[in-house]
Amino acid sequence: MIETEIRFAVPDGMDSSVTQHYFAAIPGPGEYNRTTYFDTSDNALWNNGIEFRVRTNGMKHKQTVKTRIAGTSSFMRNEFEKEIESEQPDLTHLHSVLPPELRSAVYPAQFRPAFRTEIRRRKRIVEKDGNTIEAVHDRGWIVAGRTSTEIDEVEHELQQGGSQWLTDACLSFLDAVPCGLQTEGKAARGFRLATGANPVPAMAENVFVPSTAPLPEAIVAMMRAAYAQVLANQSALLLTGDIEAVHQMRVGLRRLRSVLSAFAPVLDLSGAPDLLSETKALFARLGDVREADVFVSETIAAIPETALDARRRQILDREVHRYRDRAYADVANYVNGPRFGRFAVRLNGWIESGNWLRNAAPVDRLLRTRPVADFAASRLSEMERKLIKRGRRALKGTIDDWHEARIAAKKVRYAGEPLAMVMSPVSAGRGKPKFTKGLARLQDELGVFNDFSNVPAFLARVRETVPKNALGGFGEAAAFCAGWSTAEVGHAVHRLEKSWKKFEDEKGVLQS
Amino acid sequence: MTLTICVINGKGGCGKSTVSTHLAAGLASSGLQTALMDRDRLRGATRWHKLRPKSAARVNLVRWKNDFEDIPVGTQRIVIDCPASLRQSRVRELVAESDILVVPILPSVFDEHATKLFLEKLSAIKKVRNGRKSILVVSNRHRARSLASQRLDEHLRSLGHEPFARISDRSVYPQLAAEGLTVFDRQTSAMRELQEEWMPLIEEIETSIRLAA
Repeated sequence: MIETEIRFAVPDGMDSSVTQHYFAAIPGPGEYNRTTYFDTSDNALWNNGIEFRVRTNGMKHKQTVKTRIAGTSSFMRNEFEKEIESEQPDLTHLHSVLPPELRSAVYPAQFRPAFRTEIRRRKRIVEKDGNTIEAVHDRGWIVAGRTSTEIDEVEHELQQGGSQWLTDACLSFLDAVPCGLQTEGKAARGFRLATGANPVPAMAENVFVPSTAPLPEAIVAMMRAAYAQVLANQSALLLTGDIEAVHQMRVGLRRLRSVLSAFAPVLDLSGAPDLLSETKALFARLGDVREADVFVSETIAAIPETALDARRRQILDREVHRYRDRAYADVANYVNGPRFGRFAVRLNGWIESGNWLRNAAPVDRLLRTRPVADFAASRLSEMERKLIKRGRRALKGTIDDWHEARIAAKKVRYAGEPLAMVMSPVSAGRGKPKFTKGLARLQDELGVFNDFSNVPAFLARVRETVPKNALGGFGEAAAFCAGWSTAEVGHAVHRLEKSWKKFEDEKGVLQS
Repeated sequence: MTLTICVINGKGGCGKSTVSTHLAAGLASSGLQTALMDRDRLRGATRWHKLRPKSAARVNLVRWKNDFEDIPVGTQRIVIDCPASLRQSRVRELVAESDILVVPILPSVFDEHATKLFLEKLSAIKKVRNGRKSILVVSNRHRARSLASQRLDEHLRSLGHEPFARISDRSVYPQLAAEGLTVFDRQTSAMRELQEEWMPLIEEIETSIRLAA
């Protein structure tokens, strides 16, 4: 059975709102249950995305095995349940539902309790127009050895009907109980508690799309993968302060926006303008943190010591660090809050709805079955042509023309990536396509050019947050940086001219 | 992958240029890189292309030389507006090299007879005879209630060529052609109704092409 479930963390003081929304007619604190999660000593199951548990509710025992499903929504998993006689797990059942490639990896093995949860659960079935969800409020503890962590969360599990109904139910819940998305399940939190490990930033996973896949199938697979990367970085961003989590969440969003840009001619985005502007706004928020981080880790270091004295350098460093920390805290606050919860639910609903495919004219029906490769090749060459046109214009033009060329190059590089992945059966499913060295070099140079170009505007933003007593020193350092970066832009343009020629010499953007 | 659709009938005036330009514009509107090749000596498709506004879905006109050498790189569909004859050896070669043959026919006793003879001639071409190409018949200037249209349907059924599309006899077709346009270039509800009439043919072309690939 496939389980589709969206979970929210209930903030302190919101329990009565949860009760009022779902459980007003259900008296009492709910049923008590104890769940033991099992794994091998090296957590071989969990490390392969498998959750194995036995839940005891009174005299009843139910074993559940959950596994990931590649290429589906972030909220979907396979769920295999079985009533069993005792709290001892049924290993035959586990064996029968494990993916074959894992059986030999985990058998023969000793399974031991890894941690347990102790929960009071309130449950309600919500029905509307033949659609059904199960709303569950869990309060209790995850216990691993002598450590424990609190649980207070509401789950929405789709039992019958379409994803739109789950989206609507979640949004209606969020209207009543403003709370944040809880991307980590109890198992993830339990294993972290048991091992003492922190969540780690999630890199982009390869998307496997055959070149013959119909356009909608290919597009949804790419969007789901990008969306999954955004969500997968929530915990690391919130719990570790690791800037890489910010970067990877931004990469996920950029991949999503790249898919929309790559497939723009066959998409109709008119139904989701606010969702897309929220995506853009989050991207900018994350970009602000990233930009500050690049400034403190790379830009300041690039200024010759003889050019900027130690005192001004120190002021600059301190104020930009402060700005970065504040920007990080803003992002964390957003990602932990109800606005991100709503955004994530709506975005998932929109991706799963398929309502993004152009379908106004009768010929748009052809898009539903057209192989993605038929679209990809011509689209990539169209973007390549645009880049060449912009670059040639920039060679004889101004700084603004180089910015235009930079945007065109970014499109080829990022929006071209999903297109190149499916262009031929050879590259399809084999991970990331390889762009030419010339394009990579050009893009690096354009990136440097852009970093230098942005310095004055970035420091102007930082200036707005600088305390009055530090404004004088900061202003001097910022003015110097602005002048220095302007000179560096000139050098960058000189290097760009050379990189452009090498890029054009390679004739094409993809390695053959 | 470039695939070629040949619009042909031995009888003149049956709407080959109308069908060619509509197929080209319809396929281009759906996002395919489409070229239109004008082989008819009257150059109707060429004239239509000259009038076509830049804002309309792009259709590249391929000037005929001795081969397919002028076809822009990346072209995915080529629609050929053929002359009303199979006499030239080059036209027979084109038919043999095409992936799909589209045969427009009008509801008149003259066209019925001419088309019957033409379909026999087509069948004499080896690759057509071998069943390696789809022949898709289009009933053009169709009037659902007219006896002529009903008789044409019966006639085509007897020949084993049920029409894939029935294109209504509407004055808007010549009006649009005079502006280099087709029904696919206007997105009004009336135009969408007319677009729907073309869809069985276009969908069949795309399905045949996918299956052949």
